[in-house]
Amino acid sequence: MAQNESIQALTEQEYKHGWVTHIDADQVPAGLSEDVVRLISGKKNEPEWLLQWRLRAYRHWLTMKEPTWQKPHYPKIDYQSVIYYSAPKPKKELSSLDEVDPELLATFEKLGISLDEQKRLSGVATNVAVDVVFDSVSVKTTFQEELKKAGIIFCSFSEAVHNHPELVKKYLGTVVPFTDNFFATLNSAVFSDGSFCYIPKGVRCPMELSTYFRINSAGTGQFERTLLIADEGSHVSYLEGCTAPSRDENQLHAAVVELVALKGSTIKYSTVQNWYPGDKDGKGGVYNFVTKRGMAEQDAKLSWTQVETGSAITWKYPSCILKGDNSVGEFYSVAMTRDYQQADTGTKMIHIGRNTKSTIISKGISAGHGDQTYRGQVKILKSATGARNFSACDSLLLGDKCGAHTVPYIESNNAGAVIEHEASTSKISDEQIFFLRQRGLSEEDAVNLIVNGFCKDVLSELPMEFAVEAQKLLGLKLEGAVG
Amino acid sequence: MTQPLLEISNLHVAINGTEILHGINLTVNAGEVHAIMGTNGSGKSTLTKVIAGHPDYVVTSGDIKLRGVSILEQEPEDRARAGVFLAFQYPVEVPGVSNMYFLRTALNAHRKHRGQPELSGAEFLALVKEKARLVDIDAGLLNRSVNEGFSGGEKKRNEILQCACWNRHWRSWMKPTAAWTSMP
Amino acid sequence: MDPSVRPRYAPRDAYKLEMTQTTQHPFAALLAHAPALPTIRDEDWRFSPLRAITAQPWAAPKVAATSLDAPDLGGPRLVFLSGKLDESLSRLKALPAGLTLVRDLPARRLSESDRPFGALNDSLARDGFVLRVARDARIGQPVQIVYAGSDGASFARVSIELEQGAELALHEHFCGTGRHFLGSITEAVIGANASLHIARVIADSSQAVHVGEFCARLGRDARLVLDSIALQAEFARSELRIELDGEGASCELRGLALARANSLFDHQIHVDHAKPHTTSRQLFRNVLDDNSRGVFSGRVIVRPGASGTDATQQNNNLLLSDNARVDTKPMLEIYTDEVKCSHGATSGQLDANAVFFLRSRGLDEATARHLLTFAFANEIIEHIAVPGVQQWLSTRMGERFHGLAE
Ligand SMILES: Nc1ncnc2c1ncn2[C@@H]1O[C@H](COP(=O)(O)OP(=O)(O)O)[C@@H](O)[C@H]1O
Ligand SMILES: [Mg+2]
Repeated sequence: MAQNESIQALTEQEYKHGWVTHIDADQVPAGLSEDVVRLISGKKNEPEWLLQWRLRAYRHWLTMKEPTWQKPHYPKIDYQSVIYYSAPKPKKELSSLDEVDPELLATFEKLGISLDEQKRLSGVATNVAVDVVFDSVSVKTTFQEELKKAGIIFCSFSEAVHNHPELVKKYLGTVVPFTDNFFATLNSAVFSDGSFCYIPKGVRCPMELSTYFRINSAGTGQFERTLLIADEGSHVSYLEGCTAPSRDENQLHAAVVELVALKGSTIKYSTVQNWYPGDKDGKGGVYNFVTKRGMAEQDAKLSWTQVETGSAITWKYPSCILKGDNSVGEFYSVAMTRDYQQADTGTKMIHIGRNTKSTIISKGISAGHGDQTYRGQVKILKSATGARNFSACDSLLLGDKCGAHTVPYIESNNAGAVIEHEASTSKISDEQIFFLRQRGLSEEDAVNLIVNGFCKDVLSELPMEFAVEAQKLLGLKLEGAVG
Repeated sequence: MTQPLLEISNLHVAINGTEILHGINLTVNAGEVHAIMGTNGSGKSTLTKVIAGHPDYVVTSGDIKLRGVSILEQEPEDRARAGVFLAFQYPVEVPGVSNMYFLRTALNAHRKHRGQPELSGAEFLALVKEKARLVDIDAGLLNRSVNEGFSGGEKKRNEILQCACWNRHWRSWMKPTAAWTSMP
Repeated sequence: MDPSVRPRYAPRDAYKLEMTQTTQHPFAALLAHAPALPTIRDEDWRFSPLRAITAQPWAAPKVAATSLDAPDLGGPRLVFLSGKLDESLSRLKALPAGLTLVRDLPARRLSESDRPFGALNDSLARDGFVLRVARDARIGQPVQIVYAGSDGASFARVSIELEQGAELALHEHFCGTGRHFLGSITEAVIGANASLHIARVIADSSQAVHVGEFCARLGRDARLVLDSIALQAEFARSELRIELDGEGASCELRGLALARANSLFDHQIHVDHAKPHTTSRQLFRNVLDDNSRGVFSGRVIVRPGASGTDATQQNNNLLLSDNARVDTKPMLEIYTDEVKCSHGATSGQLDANAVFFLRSRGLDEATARHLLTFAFANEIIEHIAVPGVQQWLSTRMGERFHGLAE
């Protein structure tokens, strides 16, 4: 049937960000040991307390076992063959954008990310401050000056360690402790860079903050760490994007994101993840094993939005610990798997405070041999009187070789809590496609329209600029894909 | 004599291996209105769907010609762009896609096919407003998802609105009902 | 031996060995050897700690006459007292045409070999039966199997075979007095076009501990309607494993657990859509009072190629007390695209508006709450298709909810 061919064509669209930048890199030798941890810490001139924190994490990691409960399967990772630190060699100390390696500038221009503030300012788009992480280090953070006026700190993690040690020391590991899980612990030992952000009391951040991650070098793992603190009554919207070159080997990305939402604050965290997914036979691609968690104090709100289209394996559960009374947690997710991609993603909503509320909207799209699991936990503690949760998890299947699974855990210890979960799985409807074609749309456009409609509740949560980008991305991913 | 608009000759159609239409002949000239009547299950719906190119039905023999050209090998969207409009008995819902967006996407597909430029946002809005008044459809329905939560009557009006928007040459109706009386 | 490569559940021979070395009841001896039993680290047992079982010094059962707290449906009847068939209480004569009963300990065919309690049952069951319904025979009278325990640990096994086109209604009833353990396994092979209606009722002493497994395999166009009702026990886990192994096969599974005091009721459902055009419906409800716990885990698998599958799964929980707890895990695992699958789960209290409405019509608050709770539970009970069982349950529930039954 023509429809199947069309789905096939859509799902076979090539990855657009698969090229490599040729740039000198400063790397540590492959492998992991206390010496490597010390070397990384040394390269970054870190204070002793941070080195000790890393070492404790490393020693703890040695006692841990790699988890096996997840649905995705992958060959055993040899942790001794990974390069834990790789940084583009700076030509000299940077003082302005003019001095950033033109290769790097070109790289990010090619990815559609301008590091030139003037350019951004003159464009029609709203301003977005960008921190750019290339392999292991942050290469440039834009709009820092402007943000500074509002008292906002937005910089690379390494800079924060030097310039704001009291904040880093106070909050690092408070949401995701270094003992948390195998990959978070590994990250705690070897994390190289990432973004840091602090919004002072009562400040509404005047622009979108964003971090753009790019893995470039071969054989490297990427272990970035993001720490975002919204002080009382503040408000921030943050987004991250990710790409990587096409390589036949699998690359490990084990990041940690910690969000601290103090009393009455709001953090909106959006991700458009488009790491290299591997080729159409499932060769290569990024293993995206990420720990993301936020802690909400009284009246605070945490909102996760994610569009997951890349990676060979995605394995992440952006979570909310709703600790304070009346705090709110949200999770909006679109995940798309095709070819041989696997995704096991979802969220945890831990209700501790009274009258805490959470909403989960998850949309999964599977095509080709793609396999997808929504795994979520809604846990209502005894203290969480008046807690509410609503979850809706829908899956759309394109083709008969893909899989879609829904595994929600609902645990209620409080009679006064109200929990509702619903989920459905269906194939894209032939009648819808026929209807749209009868109205003159090509089959691909029809599929695209239906898929975008299916994802609308999530896409509409993204900041405007990203929503358009995400929609295009889904379209590209679908190019040629409905059954 | 001018060429007939639609010419169906000796049309045999099967679904899942069962023959449903056993040799239909029908000629429709420009400007004519035809009503096809028959008992339940006689194949009226089947005939209209086959003309529109529904993938479930297999034409085992015979032909359908639109302005002298066989359309049997054409995709449903090509037939639609050539002017075949099938009003659905049960119009399909498309959740998450606003009616307005859908109308515009489809209209531009038709215009592109005719070699016309796409309509600007303002031009499109003007057109839709005019047509919506013509078919007496509630403007609120334009911003809702296609047919989602529409009443039966609203769905039918919405079908006419679409038809009116891309200015068809020819149409085939399924199940004429009172709703059709509001046709221009 | 490296502990990580030790088999998760010891093989049958290991149990035999333990039995010969001990003067205790073999079950107690086995329990002492933890590897044989799951813990809450096993995903399937995550919410059901086995303290209720492992903390006991189980004795060998004394086979004593027990008053049977069960309805008498008047038809053929098998009564197991502490795992042994009691002929005086059973009715095995003058069976309807087409029904045969054979006293036998059938080998497990459907229950997976590595199920921990299955392995225990292999070693320790002393008695069992095979029920067979001949081709196209429709057994008019419901057949009843009563499992009664008084003390100690016992096991039983029943195998049901419905040949092509056969029909049977069955009532499995679990009752008893005092503290006792029962491990039961019931297997049903349901042939093409055959139909089995089964009601499983646990109305035991408040100290009873149950782990029961019901496995069924359905052939082409076969049908299973199963109701699993837990009224009383300290710990009752019902594992229902249904394999839709023929095109057009369908099952309807319903369950209700009315838990109070410290009891834990666990329903583990596993529905496997192995063939195209199969249908499953699940509706399970928990009503949880006092310190009780309810567990629901429902897994629906749609195999590659099982196109046209239609599956729904609903789990609703009503928490009546601040100390009650529910853990629910409805799962869909889907490997083909031509499917229609959905599930839903809810947890909460009685609808405050409904309570208010009834009070505004003159009912006192307690009565209003009882009435609404009864109604919530009754939506399961009212569908029970085994004659006589529904009436009995309705009366029981009425007593529980202060004389509200008609
Ligand atoms: N999808 C289908 N599969 C099998 N038979 C069908 C299908 N659709 C229609 N039919 C059969 O085709 C015949 C014609 O149906 P239809 O065209 O709907 O008739 P009408 O519209 O004239 O009432 C009926 O006998 C109907 O049962
Ligand atoms: Mg009809």
